[in-house]
Amino acid sequence: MASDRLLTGNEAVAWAVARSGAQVVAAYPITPQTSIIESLASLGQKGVSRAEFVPVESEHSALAACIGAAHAGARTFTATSGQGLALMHELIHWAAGGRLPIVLVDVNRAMAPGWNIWTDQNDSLSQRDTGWIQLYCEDGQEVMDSVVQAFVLAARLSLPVMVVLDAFFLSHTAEAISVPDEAEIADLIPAWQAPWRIDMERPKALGSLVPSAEYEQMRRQLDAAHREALGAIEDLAATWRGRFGRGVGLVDRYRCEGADEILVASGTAASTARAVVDALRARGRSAGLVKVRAFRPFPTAALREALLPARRVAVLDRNCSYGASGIFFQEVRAALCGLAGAPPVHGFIAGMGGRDITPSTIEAALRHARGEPRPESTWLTE
Amino acid sequence: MADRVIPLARPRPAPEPRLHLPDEELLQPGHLACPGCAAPILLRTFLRLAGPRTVLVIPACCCSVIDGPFPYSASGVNVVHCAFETAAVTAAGVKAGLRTRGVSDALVVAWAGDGGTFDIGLQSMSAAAERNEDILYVCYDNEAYMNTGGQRSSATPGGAWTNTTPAGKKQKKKDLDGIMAAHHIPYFATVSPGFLDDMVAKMRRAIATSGFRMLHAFSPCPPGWKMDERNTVAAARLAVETRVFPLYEVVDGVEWRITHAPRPRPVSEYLSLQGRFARLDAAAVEHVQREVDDDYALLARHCAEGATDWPLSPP
Amino acid sequence: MKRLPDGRVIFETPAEVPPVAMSYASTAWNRTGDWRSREPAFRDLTSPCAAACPAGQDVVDQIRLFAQGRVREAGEVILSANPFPATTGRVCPHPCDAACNRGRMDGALDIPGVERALGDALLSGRVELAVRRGGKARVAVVGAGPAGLTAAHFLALAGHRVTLYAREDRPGGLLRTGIPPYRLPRGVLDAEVERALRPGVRFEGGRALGDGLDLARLGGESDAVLLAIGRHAPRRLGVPGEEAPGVVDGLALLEALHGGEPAPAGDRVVVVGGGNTALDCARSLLRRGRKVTVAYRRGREEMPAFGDEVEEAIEEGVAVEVWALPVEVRSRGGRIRGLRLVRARPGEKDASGRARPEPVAGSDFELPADLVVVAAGESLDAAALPGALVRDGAVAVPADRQGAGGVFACGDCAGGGGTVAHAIGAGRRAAAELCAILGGEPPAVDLLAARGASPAVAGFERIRPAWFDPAVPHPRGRAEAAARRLGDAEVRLGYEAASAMAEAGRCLACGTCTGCDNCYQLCPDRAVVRAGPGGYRADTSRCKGCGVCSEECPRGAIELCEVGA
Repeated sequence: MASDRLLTGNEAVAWAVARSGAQVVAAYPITPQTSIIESLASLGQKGVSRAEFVPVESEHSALAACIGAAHAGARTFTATSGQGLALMHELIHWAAGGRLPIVLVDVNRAMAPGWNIWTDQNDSLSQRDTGWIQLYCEDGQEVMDSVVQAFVLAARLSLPVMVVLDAFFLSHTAEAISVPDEAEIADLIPAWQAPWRIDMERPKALGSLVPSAEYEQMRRQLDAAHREALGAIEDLAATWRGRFGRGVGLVDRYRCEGADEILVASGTAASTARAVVDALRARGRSAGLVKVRAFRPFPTAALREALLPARRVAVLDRNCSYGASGIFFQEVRAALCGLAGAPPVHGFIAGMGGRDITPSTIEAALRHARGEPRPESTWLTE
Repeated sequence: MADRVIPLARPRPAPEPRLHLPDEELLQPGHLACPGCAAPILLRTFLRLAGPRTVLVIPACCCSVIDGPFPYSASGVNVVHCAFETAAVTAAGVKAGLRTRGVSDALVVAWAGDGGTFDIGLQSMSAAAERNEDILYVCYDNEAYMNTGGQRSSATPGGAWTNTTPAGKKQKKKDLDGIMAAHHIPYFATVSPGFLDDMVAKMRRAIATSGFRMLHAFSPCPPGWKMDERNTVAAARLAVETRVFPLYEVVDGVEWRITHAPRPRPVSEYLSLQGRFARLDAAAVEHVQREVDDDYALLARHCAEGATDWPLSPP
Repeated sequence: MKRLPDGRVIFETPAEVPPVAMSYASTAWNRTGDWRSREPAFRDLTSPCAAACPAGQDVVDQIRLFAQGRVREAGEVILSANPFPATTGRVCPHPCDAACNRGRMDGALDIPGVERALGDALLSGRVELAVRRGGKARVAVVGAGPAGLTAAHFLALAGHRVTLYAREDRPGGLLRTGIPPYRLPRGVLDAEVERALRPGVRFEGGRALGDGLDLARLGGESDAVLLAIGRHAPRRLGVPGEEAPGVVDGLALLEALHGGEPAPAGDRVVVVGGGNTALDCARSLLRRGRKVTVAYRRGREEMPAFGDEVEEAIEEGVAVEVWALPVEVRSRGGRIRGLRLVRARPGEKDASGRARPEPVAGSDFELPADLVVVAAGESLDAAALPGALVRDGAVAVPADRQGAGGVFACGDCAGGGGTVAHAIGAGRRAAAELCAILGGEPPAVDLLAARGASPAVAGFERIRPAWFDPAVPHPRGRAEAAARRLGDAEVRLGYEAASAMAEAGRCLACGTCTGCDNCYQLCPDRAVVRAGPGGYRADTSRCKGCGVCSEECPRGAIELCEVGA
């Protein structure tokens, strides 16, 4: 029987990891991820979590330990932020190329220098090319559900899954969260059966030197797995709605019916954007919101369907690909590129380094979106 | 009545094998080691002792190539190739993962070169040792980054030529043995393929011990050391005989024991075998001899202070 | 994915490539032997001891079999070359252990000690070779010393009907008449001679050429005649006064003593000569209470007698004068008073490579003597031989007199090396030669070649001492000098059985594969495979030609060769 608890986003992660039956957890503390690990340790002490904890000496080693444990067929988990995720980068590639079912929670944190422990999305988005599934969470319940679904997706698809939540706004904000029972979800998480698990009876070498043609073919299959993930994520959303009465899949469409102007947002900013949409609707403007939950695989079809009817689209980025533009903006624009009747897409950067995104920030974006679309994002820096 | 012997085919004396190892061979031929490479000698011997329920974790190093490219493997056991600096921690992860799946009898071995041990892998190895992870770490040391063509590592001895130290390396070889002893791991030992009995005894002991144990294996490299391929084992022997690479073991960081002390030979006999030391003049060789003597005296002091009745590794 | 018959794996379509790099097969299909430009040749070499052995024994095999406790088989090997191991183990000058590679490590193997122990064990175990049928010829062997005995023995083993003739009443030749019992006990000699004759040799004593034995008639009665009459004609001193009574020939003296006759009178004895005969005479007379001095023309190092002999003689109390040339035998009243000598100094080297002794003028001195024994060398006694058979002081049978029905010669009389071991080797080779002509299974001539060993010698540079555990020689020793003087007890002591086998266990087996498995264990590519018991070969489909096997063979039994050479 699920229980309702008052939990921060980080505590929700810990409960989800415990309920999912994670077996090996390796992690290195970094603000603001730290309370995930501490909560897990506490759940371990209480017997709620049965995971073996490896107190590694760096994030790079944390992911390495998970890679080793995953090869051995164990259900593995790690968590990090910012610098820590960046330090893992080499192995982020490795986990995906190795098709290992690792679940990682990244508490979005701004990259140094200077030191900044608050939220933006550059850390997770710097990993977007590596082959991990990326799910961005708006609230604590979504964190809980996404982490559990991450274990399902990972085992089903042999892909590592990154669940992302905003530093402090989500990681350290407490909400009432429904925590499923282990029994309620156990049947959902399959045992991982891929033939590249270590089998003591049928030994093999994994990860050796690969010639070019075969390497390309393997990477093509990694990409194909992401196509499969699109359907799997939607399937799981349907399962969750049926079993728990909540949750979304690749994207969430909020009041987009007949909307002239549609905001695209992710993370906690989506929550603020909902309030703005409500306020605008109340003032007679037809505005809507598309929240992007899955950034990888990129939900092109879902976004096209949601955005094509609009007259203009404003994409909010809490990130920047320096020298180009905001990243969600790039990819949304690319998704609509060349389609007949596609609306102009405007990009806006706000909230880097944890700067607050307020309703007026978002309304300013919509004002700018009335003008001509620009190739680069507009920084909403007031 | 005389005991008459009918001479049939001429009787010959019975074969007398020196060393009795298990017959089952795991390492297959056809691997990609250079001719005369010591690494497959070490690996082959080790696998015969370790047996089939072994998982090798191999970071970037010569052995990641030697084992063979996809879709082949020479080792005959499970091999997990891993990133360069992660041998120890990946092995720890594999061991933990197997443990949680109920497989308790697998021997998980980090099999790394000197690069992945002394340098880029030192951090993760130190941490794994500090946590006393239940893995066996074998560093086969060819004293340079040989897999990338022979650049200096901190394991390169002073004076040696490499592609990045054409005038000879300035610094002494890093004292990794001292570092590992300072971690107070359950078992540490140096081994050389020039002394098989000693090596086999230590491999057996390391396999049978729990917790973090480490073998520092001397692994001569004919192309990198500019040496005739036939001299690999001779170089491994001379290194011990000249005290450049003494054979000893340390238990729990406190019991130090020299396990084999052959009659010492002058270091010049070892250096002259290898082109990488060809630049050394008489004064430089004398300097090396002094350093070798000083280091050995220090080791002998450790051993004297740590002497106990602890039994020697059985053959 | 398809598996080819050679072990390779191929992916016929891109869809067959797995999602990750994982292995499906081993590398065993990969013929790394194609890389090689060198390859090992597993071939035994000749050990230095065997190369030095005048009897051509397979020293390593017989020692190792003995060390493994396989006495009968060790016996089979040694007896197939040497019918007299208990004898040679006692009296041979053992050039084998002078050549022993272990001498450059922790001490040469005491090969004679081991051989003697093996020989004694074969006697007490009554081990001997069985006769093989096949030969049918009648062969006459003249001379029952070690050469004649050996030849007769092997011919009888081959099935021939052999008659052995000797001047003496009993067989043995110099083994009985020359070598004293304190070096070769009579019991040992008798047992080995008896064993040698047992395959069916008929012995006829008291028959010398020209005195009870006619060569021509012998030739008519036999399918072949083998002369093995040795060298017995004594060399004279060539000084005034040597005709006097009291000057005796050394060999004759020894024969008389060993035949049980009393020694000629004379308390103070001077023995002239530096060979074994001289020393044997000196020590035999010492044991009969005489005061003995040996006088030799050159120095101690040049004395032909075995080094042990001289040392033992001096221990027992024999005085030795070196660089002393006899000048005159001095007599008075029909009795010898002394021997006058002159001091000599080393001059130029002569044909034998030794310095010619040059008298130092005015350095005359006299050794008082009641008996002078001349043991200055022997030569062929050609009196009873047809001149056509003799050339340059040795028997040399012309080719037309060889072949069936002909005359052959072997041993010292044919210019042989002068030791028992040389004689044994010569006798065996003669028997083999005769079997080739007359039929019957010959003895092995080259025992090492018979087991595939190359004639190249495994010198110390081929040995890898680090692979051997240190072990110093087991001591043997001599009886105490004072006791030795009193009688004929053996001077050199033998090993106990356990010590003998332990000493035999120190044999490095130079050049001979012992199945130690070093090459097998150390090959990085598993290219050294086991071939038959105790042997190996290279799998050239795998061998990269590194040469580690060859370098690490502890005993140098692996050669590294260029491919295609």
